[in-house]
Amino acid sequence: MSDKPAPKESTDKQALLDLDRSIGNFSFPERHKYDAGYGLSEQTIDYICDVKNEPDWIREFRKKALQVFESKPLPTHWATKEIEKIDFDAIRYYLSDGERPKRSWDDVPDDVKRTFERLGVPEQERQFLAGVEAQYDSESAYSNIKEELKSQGVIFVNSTEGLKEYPEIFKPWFGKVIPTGDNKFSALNSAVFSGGSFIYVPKGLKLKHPLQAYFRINSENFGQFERTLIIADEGAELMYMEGCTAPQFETSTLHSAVVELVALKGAKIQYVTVQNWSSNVFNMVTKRGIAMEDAEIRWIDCNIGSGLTMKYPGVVLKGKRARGEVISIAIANTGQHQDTGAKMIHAADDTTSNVVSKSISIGSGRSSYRGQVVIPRGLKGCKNNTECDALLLAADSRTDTYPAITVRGDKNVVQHEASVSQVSEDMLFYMEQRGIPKAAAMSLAVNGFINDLVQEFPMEYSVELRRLIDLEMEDSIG
Amino acid sequence: MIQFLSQHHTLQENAPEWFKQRSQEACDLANQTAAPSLLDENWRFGSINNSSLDSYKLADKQDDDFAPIDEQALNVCYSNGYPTKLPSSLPTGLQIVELSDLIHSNPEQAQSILAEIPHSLGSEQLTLIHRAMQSHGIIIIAKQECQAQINIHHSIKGDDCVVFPSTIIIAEDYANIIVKETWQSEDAGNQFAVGMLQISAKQGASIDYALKQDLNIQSQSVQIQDLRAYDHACINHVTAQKGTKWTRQETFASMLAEEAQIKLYSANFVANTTKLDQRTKQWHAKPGASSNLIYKNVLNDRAKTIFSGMILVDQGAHQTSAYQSNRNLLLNDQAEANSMPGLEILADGVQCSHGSATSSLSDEEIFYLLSRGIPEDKARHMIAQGFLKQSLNDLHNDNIVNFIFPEEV
Repeated sequence: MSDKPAPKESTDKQALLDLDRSIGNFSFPERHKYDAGYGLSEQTIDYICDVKNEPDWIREFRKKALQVFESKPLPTHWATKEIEKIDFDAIRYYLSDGERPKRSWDDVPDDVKRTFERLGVPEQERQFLAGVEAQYDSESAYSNIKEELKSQGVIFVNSTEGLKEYPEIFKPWFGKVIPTGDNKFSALNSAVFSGGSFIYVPKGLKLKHPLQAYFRINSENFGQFERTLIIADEGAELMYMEGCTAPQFETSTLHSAVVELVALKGAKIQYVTVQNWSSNVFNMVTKRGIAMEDAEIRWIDCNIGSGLTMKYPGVVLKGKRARGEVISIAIANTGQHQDTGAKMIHAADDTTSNVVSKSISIGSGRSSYRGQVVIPRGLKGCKNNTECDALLLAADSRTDTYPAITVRGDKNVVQHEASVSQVSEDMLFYMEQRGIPKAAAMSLAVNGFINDLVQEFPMEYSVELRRLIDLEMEDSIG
Repeated sequence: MIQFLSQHHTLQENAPEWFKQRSQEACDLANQTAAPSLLDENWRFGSINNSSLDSYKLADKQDDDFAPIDEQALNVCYSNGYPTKLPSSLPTGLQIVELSDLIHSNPEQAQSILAEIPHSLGSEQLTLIHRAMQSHGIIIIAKQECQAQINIHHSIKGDDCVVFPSTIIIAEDYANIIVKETWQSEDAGNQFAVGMLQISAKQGASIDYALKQDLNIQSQSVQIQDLRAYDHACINHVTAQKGTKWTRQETFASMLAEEAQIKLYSANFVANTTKLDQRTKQWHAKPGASSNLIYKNVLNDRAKTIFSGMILVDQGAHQTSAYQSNRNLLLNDQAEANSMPGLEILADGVQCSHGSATSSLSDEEIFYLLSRGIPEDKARHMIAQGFLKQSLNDLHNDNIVNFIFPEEV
């Protein structure tokens, strides 16, 4: 089914790319045993199902989703017209090298290991890849659940395995937090999903170590459609971390993931993302969690890179005293648009939610905050706090804020605040006077702006994050 | 289909040819323009059907004069959209003239004043319908550092009828004027008022404008307000929506030169099943201007409010300072407040912020007043009134504060 067009890249360009080995700017030869070809049709879905040997109910689920995807318009009445540039026919919806998920690190192909090295996975961590789900293209190239986790009853598998091996656990929640018809991109994901992580943490188990997944895009014109479902049973606690980086290509690629979180009574889930897509990636992610009684869901999100990111992590606060939080940092450089935000849907008494969003626009970059807070009729004691701060670093940087807040009833409190600022001349002067070069002074000021949020990230991520921010700011400070 | 749209010919029978042509063009454009759709962000949370004029007829001409006379001010009165009183003597530099007179007496001036189609925020079709039906309206032109206070009173009487109030205020040369406008129902009929306000302040002029909408609970109203401030000019714009079952206010404030300043205020007590839909835009087209917005609502019963405000700082509009705040006080479990404060900033070196808060009365506040012998109903009313009144603190104009919040006996 593969009908890959001849690569247009000139060898000169390739040489240039090889020389300029900045973060994320690398690529490895592709070798795919299974390739669903370009474009999306019922045949594509049959092909995916056949290759993955999926049961009929998944096939039907995918086909229904395809119909929904085709019937839904792009949300251009509120979103940027940029999304019209996505050419759905020029995307390969399924690629896999067909190898089974690896059981031990030694079995992982060398080129994949090299990718992890570039990603900066530390040596010790590679030894201690407890529960790392490393996704190479659509399939997991590495999947090793540490015995300890397994003995505790934690299930940590990819989406296909999860639905095939543990349907009694995952099927009841699969597609329930984010229904297929939620939006055009969630429908697309439901039709062609592959890879991702399905996690179940049993009752009362509090995981000490974060679970991690690294994944990347490595095929030109190839969209990655991973599907993640995390279920924390009553009283369970876990932290999940994902870091994404993609090699640079000339044409646009599409990343459209769906992440569903379920925190049952008293459970806690923290979901940490550090994302650094290359500028030609459309990043359309639907993330939502459902928090039952006394449960807590926190989305900690850092968006760097990509041409256009549209991502609004949400929490449905379904049980009493549930708590939701979104902490987000977005950095938009020239040619990039970070359209991020948060959704907080209060559906029970005494639920609280907090949104803190900080964005930095560099060069002619554009960052937008889009938020929604809903407190329906008949509830009491609900509280929401939203803060959005934007920092503009150049004369033609742009920032937008589009919150929508609906409150019904007289027993709830909601507040929203947003501000826009610059790095003040005084601050820079003060530092320059003390011998700090302007660029370093700027970097200090910017790091100060997001410092309190960076601290929310796990240590190794916050270090990586600062490095990425410095990288982004290079050459952009005049 | 709107039945009365073709009647603009009869309304403007005696008008000059250019004016008739202008109406016809607007009428044609209105027919080509789509009615609002729910997909339009300007109508998010809104009620589209309410803006339809299909079941209305034009209000009959009224000669009765219902307006109270204020000796301190120049009084202008309209009844069902027809002028019933105009001031006889005017101070130097001030011109107050009826639209239907100006188009005959000074067609050039009228043409230049009426040339542009005002900005709106979602009611493009209604704006054109208003333009097509516009046959009367008050035009105030202030020059030569003149100072004046003008009261405009619109009375509406009848059932299933629509009126098109129109107010145009132009001030320049450091003129300083206060305009207070009232919309009042004279009976309990189902009335629809589609009002157009155009304010233009130039060369250091200062305009304080307040609208008190006091229509009956059956009625509906749409207010399209286009405010433009030029160099060193200052506009204070106040609205208080007291009545109707549905009101939509679209306020487009443009800062078109350095040192221009516009402040927008609104204080509304919304009760019963009233829906109040307010959309605003603070457009900073040039650097160095400032704007501020304070909109406060108290919601009782099954009231619903929508506030959607946008601060747009255009490319190159550095050294802008723009603020926006929306506060909602909910008194009833059935009330609903929607708030969409927005920012679009395309220039740096700006100071911009917005805030929105929605909450209810605290038990402590009530208890404090109860313990001083004030009955609960009165205590709640006092707090709500204080909350609203506070929104006009920055206005520094007692005349307007007393107009919006008359002393209670």
